[in-house]
Parts: sequence; C-alpha cells; structure tokens
Amino acid sequence: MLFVLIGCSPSGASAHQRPVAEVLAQGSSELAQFTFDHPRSLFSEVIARSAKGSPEWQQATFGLAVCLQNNSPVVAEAITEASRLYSELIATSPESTFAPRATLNLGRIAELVDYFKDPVDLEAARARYSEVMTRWPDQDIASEAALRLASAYAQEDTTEANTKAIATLETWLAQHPKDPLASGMYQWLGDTYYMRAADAKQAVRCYIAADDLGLLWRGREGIVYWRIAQIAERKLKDRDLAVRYYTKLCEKAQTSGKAFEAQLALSRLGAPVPELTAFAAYKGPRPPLIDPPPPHQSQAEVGK
Amino acid sequence: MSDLELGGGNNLDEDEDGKPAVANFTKRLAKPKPPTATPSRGWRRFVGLNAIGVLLLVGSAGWSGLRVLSIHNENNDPNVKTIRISHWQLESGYREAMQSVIDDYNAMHAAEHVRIVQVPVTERIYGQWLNVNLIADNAPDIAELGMARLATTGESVAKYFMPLGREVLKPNPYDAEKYLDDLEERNPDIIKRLTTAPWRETMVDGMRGGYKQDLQDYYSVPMAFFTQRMFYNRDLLREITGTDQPPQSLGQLFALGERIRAWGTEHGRVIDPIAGTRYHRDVFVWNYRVTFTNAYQTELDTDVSGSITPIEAWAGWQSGKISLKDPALRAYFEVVRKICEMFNPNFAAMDRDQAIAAFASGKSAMMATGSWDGQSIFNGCKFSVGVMNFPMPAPGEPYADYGKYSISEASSAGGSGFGITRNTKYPEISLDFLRFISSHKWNQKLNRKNGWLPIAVGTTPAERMVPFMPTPYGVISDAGFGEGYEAETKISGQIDRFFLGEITYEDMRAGVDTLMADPKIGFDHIWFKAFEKERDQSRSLERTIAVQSARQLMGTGDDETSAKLLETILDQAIGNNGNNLRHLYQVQNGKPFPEEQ
Repeated sequence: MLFVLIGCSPSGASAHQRPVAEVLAQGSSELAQFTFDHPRSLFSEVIARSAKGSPEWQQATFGLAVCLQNNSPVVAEAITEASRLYSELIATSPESTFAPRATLNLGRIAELVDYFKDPVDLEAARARYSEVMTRWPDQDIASEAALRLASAYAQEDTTEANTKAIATLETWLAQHPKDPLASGMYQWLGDTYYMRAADAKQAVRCYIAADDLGLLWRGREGIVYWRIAQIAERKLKDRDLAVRYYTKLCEKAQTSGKAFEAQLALSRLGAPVPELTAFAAYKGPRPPLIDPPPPHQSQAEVGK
Repeated sequence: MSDLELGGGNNLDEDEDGKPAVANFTKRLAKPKPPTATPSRGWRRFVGLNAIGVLLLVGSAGWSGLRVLSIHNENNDPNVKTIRISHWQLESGYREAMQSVIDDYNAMHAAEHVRIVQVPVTERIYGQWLNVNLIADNAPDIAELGMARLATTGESVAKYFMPLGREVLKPNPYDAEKYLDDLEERNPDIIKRLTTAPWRETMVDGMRGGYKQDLQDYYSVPMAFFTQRMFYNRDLLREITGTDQPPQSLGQLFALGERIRAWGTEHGRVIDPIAGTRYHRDVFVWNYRVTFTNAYQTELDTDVSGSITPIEAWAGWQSGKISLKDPALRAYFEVVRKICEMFNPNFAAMDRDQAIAAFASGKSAMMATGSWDGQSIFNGCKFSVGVMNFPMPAPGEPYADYGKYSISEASSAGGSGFGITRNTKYPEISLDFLRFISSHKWNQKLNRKNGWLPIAVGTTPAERMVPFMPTPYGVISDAGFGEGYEAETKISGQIDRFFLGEITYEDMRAGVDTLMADPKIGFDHIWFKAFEKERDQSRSLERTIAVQSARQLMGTGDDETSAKLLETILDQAIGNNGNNLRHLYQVQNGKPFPEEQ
C-alpha cells in the first residue's frame, strides 16, 4: 500500500514525467553550482532514459563521472566508477565534445591523490595528457594538457625530468605563441627555471613574456612584478629592468603590500619614486625613504 | 465590600498555622477596618490594587499577543517582501547604523512593499545558528559570512550562497551621480569610477574581501576596512606627564610605561600602562613580529613571492638562516615581553571586554586593538581618547638596528562581508540591497555612524576614525612558527611562559630548539604536513576546475568562465601537487623527503 501511495504521489509522478532535457538541465545547473551529490541521481536518470551515445547520454555520462570524481568524501569505488564512465564515453562517442576533457580527467585521476593511500601514477597521467595533445591539437584543452604534461615531468624532480618539463612547454609555446594559456605556461616556466634549474636569466625572460601577454593572475600581478624586479636587481644586476618593474609595482599594484618596499628600492637605485595615490587619504606618519636621491632629482620627484 | 471579596489576596494559600487561608476569612474580616477606609460605591467598587494588578496583567498579555500577531502579520504579509539580513556585530552603534541605512532603503522602496529587517545574533552562537538555518533552508536572505563552517569553507559557501561574479561586473546603480551628493572631493576620476566602473572597482580593495580564490568567484560584498592601532587616554597622559602627546618611538613608550607606574605609586593609585589580555598581546605580537623579522625576507623568501610562507620560515629555522640566537629575534621577544610587563598583572586570565573596561574606567592608560572596537571605546570612555600608530624604535634607541618599519596595510582586504543565501525568495531585492549598502553614499553613512572605515571609493570615515586609515608605508613579510602543528602548540607554550616572565630567554630558546629538533613533531614532521596540505589544496582546486570546465562544456558558464578556468589551472599547476616543497627540502637538506609517517 505504501509503495502504491509513493508511486501515486505527485512528486513521484512528476519525476518520471519530466522530459529528459529538463532533468539534464537541472543536473547540469546543480553541477555548475558546485553540487556533486544530488545531480548524480539526475544524470543517472538521463543515462537510463537516453539512447547510448546520444548527446544527452554523453552529457549525463560526463556529468555523472565528474560528480563521482569530486563528491566529498572521495572514495576508491567512486573514482573507479568515474574512470569507467569516462572510458565508456570516450569509447562510445570518441567525437563527443566531452571526450577530450574525459581523457584529460583520466590523467588527473592517475596524477592526483584522490583518497587515502591512492597511488600516484605519473606515467599513466603523462600518457593521457600526450593523448589529448595528439588527438585534439587544435582545441584549447591541448594547451592545458601540455602544461599538465610538463608538471607531471617536474614532479619526478630529476634533472632529466625537469629538462623534459621545460622542453615540453618551450616547444609548445614556440608553436602556439598566442595560446590562451601561454601566459600561464610562461609563468610556470619562470618558476621552474628559477627554482629547479637555477637559471635566473631564463626565469626573468619567461616572467616578462607572461606579463607581456597579460598575466592570468588577476589581482595578484604584484607578486610577478616583485619577482622580476628582485631577481633583476639581486641576481642579474640589471638596474633598468629592476627600476621598470619596481615602478610598475608602485603604479599598478599599490594594494599588493609591496609598493612601499618598491619605493625604497627605487630610492636605493636612484630612480624616480611614484606616489602611492590610492592611499592619499592616509595622513599618518611616513617613514623616510632611506637612500638619498641622486643630485639631479628633487625631493618632490622621489615622493617625500 | 472588602478587597478580599473582590477576589484579591492569596486566599487559597496556607497560613502560618498550616491551615487553609480560606478558613481564616472570618478572622480577617473580624479585624477592624482602618478608620480612613470607606466602602466603595458605584464603579469604585470594582477598583482596587488587586484589580489594577489583574487588569495590568490582562492588558500586558493582550498587548503582547497583539504585538506578536502584528509582527507575525508583518512578516507574513503576502503584500510585503521581507528580506532578513543577519550579522554578529553587536558592538556599540552598529545596529543603529545598519538600521539607519535600512530605513533609507525601506523608505526608498516603500511603494514596492519591500522591507529589510536586520537579525543581529551574538557571535557566541552565530556560527551554530547560521549552520542550522542554512541546513534547515530557513536562513536569512542575506547573511554575514564567517563564524559558521557552512559560510566559510569553499564547498559549503558554493552550496549555500549565491555567486556574485556576474553582478560585480556591472556598475552599481546606487553610485549614479544623483546619489553622490556626499562626495567630499569632486574628483572627476572618482566620479567616473563610481558611476561607470564595475561594482567591484568601486571598492577600495577591488572587492577582494568578497572573493573566494578556491571557487574563483565573489560570494560576499565587504562593508568595511579594519586596521589596528593603539588607543590612549589623553587626560590621564596629561595628568601624568604634563602633555597629551603620545610616545613617538618605542623607547618613549617604555619610558612612559615606567613613568605611569611610578606616578601610580606616588599617588596611591593602581594604573597599568596598557590594558591587556592574550588577545591584545597578540595584536602587539603580530605588529612587532613583522617589524623585527621582515628583514629575513631576503634569505627566506625562496620563491621571491614577496612574503615568507610558513614552510619557508620552517626551512629557515632548520637551515639556521633564522635562529633564536639572532639579535633581531632576541630584540623582538624582549620588546613583546616588555610590553607584557606594561599590562595589568593578570592579563593572561582576562577577556577582551575586561580589558576595554579597564581602559574605559581609567585603570589603564593605553590599549591596542582593531578599528572594530573603535566605536565602543570612543563611546564608552568619559575622557578624551587619542589614537596612535605602533611606535617604532627611533635611531639611537635600543632595538633600532633590528626593526625600522611598521606593518603595511595596503594589501588588506575588506571585511564584514555579506552574501546572499540560496534559499532566499527574493534574490533580486537582496542583491539590490547589497548594492545600496555598499554604494558611496550609504557605505559612508553606515561606517561613519558605526565608527568603522568605509570601503567604497571616495568615502571618508568619521573624523575620529581618520587615524585608522590604512597605511601603505610598511612591510608585510614575517617569520614565525605558524603551521607547525603539534610543535607550534608546544612552542607557543614556551613563548607564553617567556612573555609571562616565568622563564628566561635562554630557557625558552633551549625549549624551542629541542621541540624543533624532535623527530616526531619537529622539522621533518612539519615538512610532511606542509606537503600534505599543499597536495590536498591541489586536489581541492580540481573541484573548481571540474565545475568550471563542466560549465564551459554544458553551456552553464558566463563570460568569465574561461578566464577563471585558466587561472585555476595555473594555480594548481604552479604548485606541482606539493612537489615544489619536496624539491626545496631535498635541495636544502641533501636527503630524501620524509615520507608518510
């Protein structure tokens, strides 16, 4: 009797009568709002009600796999099922718009520690990233795969692997200089040259290239400006470059917290010191800029 | 007719003999009436003290009932759109300031039958209260984010609060020129920015305070800036020193502390130089740690990011690039200990309110806290209150070689952020109110009345809050024992004992060195925990990437989705799943990274 009542309930009835497209749209919308638990049942329903390989099936299969991969707490069984779904999607609909991301996500599953004691398989991850670069070379996701491939090499942390990591991206960037992720790749290369190859000159070249393309870090540009200026001043002894980026920091990244130190550096280097106009309302004490300006500059120029 | 006959009195109670009081009626009636008492006639027969009491009781109950009903009707009036906004700001003046802005909004939108209602909840239970209501789908339409786990962690915020990313790209209609009549400086650039720039650009911090990096979106709108300063009792300073000028240097602060103690002894009064608690001590700790350890940035900031991360500091402690033997470190610890000696002796056992009360009652001459306490202190003190920056060592003074600059407040993000809950029936009105309260005119009004620092571009604070305006003329790096897990807790205990004067600097140093070298909780354990944390953060970013890429593929994204996806991919890739730490460890220590223990 209870089952009959439940079966006859309005909600139960409407769930079965809702068009597949509506259920799919709801699942996709919930997933877009960082909800991973509830959409699983919606995507499962679409999979059950759609023809295998149909556009609805592809989207629902991908959606369900994403939910399983990311629903907290992540468990081994869910990751296994997500992998199966991604593989099934790629095998059934290799031309699907979801296939490249599904392939890349298989690489992510191999690379990341998804649950306690989950083994990392960098080689398997690299194979997936290479596959994306080879099969979909003209899609944006190929550049992400290139960055992932380089990172998966760097994580080996051997001289040989670091060299491969750098070569991977340098080659890619030479072929795809205007890639949407190019700026990010240059920034990653800058870090890798500086931290892993101890090559300050190449690091600065890459950071500048990233800046010229437009940094992907919005609101955090000051970190890159500071890095270029500091390496230029301390390692490369390139005064002009240091002045250029300390000045840029004072002008474009006043809220980075490093603007006053950039002012001190400009004073130290004998360069004009821009005012921190964003803080004009501050009327309290201001420490002096220690190093005296060169004779040709007035006090006003150095922002006293 | 007597009062008893009107039914008053405890006639069913027992008397002293234990007999029912009713049985004693006749006894009482037999007592002679006072000579002045005359029998009541007409309407007067119904009036007596007991009758008035009953009437008052019935009246009060009736009035209460009506009030409950009227509030219930107001809240459930189908013609009125009620928006509830919750917060935990019970400081003096906040609710009144918020109400004045709410009143303006309600008046402006009366024709649309919109009513904003604030729901202040004490911070002691705010988190629990909000968590419960979010889960129960009964949360207020707008809530101050924080305190509650569900209003803090990325996943929960995404689940229970609305993203504002699309909205912050549009200009704020309440910054239209007709509303800029309170703009003091008619700077064309400011007017242009307020009237035409995206909403987020009309905030001094670019709305950074409302941005959730892990979700790559804006989930709250900050209402104010917060900074820390020292307060001082001008009248008391004048009485003691002959001038109300505050100390201009650290040396002068210590000299003033000694003078205050001596003056108290001379005048038979107990006056502490500074009102303190552990909370207020940490205000000094934070400010002076930056001053005295910033210079380590050159050595410790391995990735040249402009700040010393906790693990970079630990790497420094391990390599000896920073040591408690260093004069700069010793200077820092001595300075804070001397400041603690200026506190009330029992400071470790006192709470925040007690310290404010001690300052307000003139038992302490100074105190250090944030601008959020400004209004309470200004309103609660009967004397003239001064505000000063944390004094630095002046040239020639002790410690001058080790600390020159105070903390920079330029990178401060706004606080007291409000977000829109997903259960609201009126997301458009909630959003509209957030635009209203964060606009130049009303953000300035809110914060001037409340005594906080407004955050909208072109605003100015109340006159007495001007000294709190954020200074960019300082530094931001510091090295401490943060993110040291078990070792940090035990090291903090050693440091506490030193600040309390229980152990010497040498004893503290020996204790801290022993803890850092402990194989179970020391350096290697901390390295591993840091690696684990970075690896987890990387995994957490995978969720953001999953959602952004799904939005892109499923057509549920917006113009910003691609940019957000690329930025998150870079954020994740740049950390190499925590393996940069492994590399740093191996380069520094020349041995394999300590694996899972």
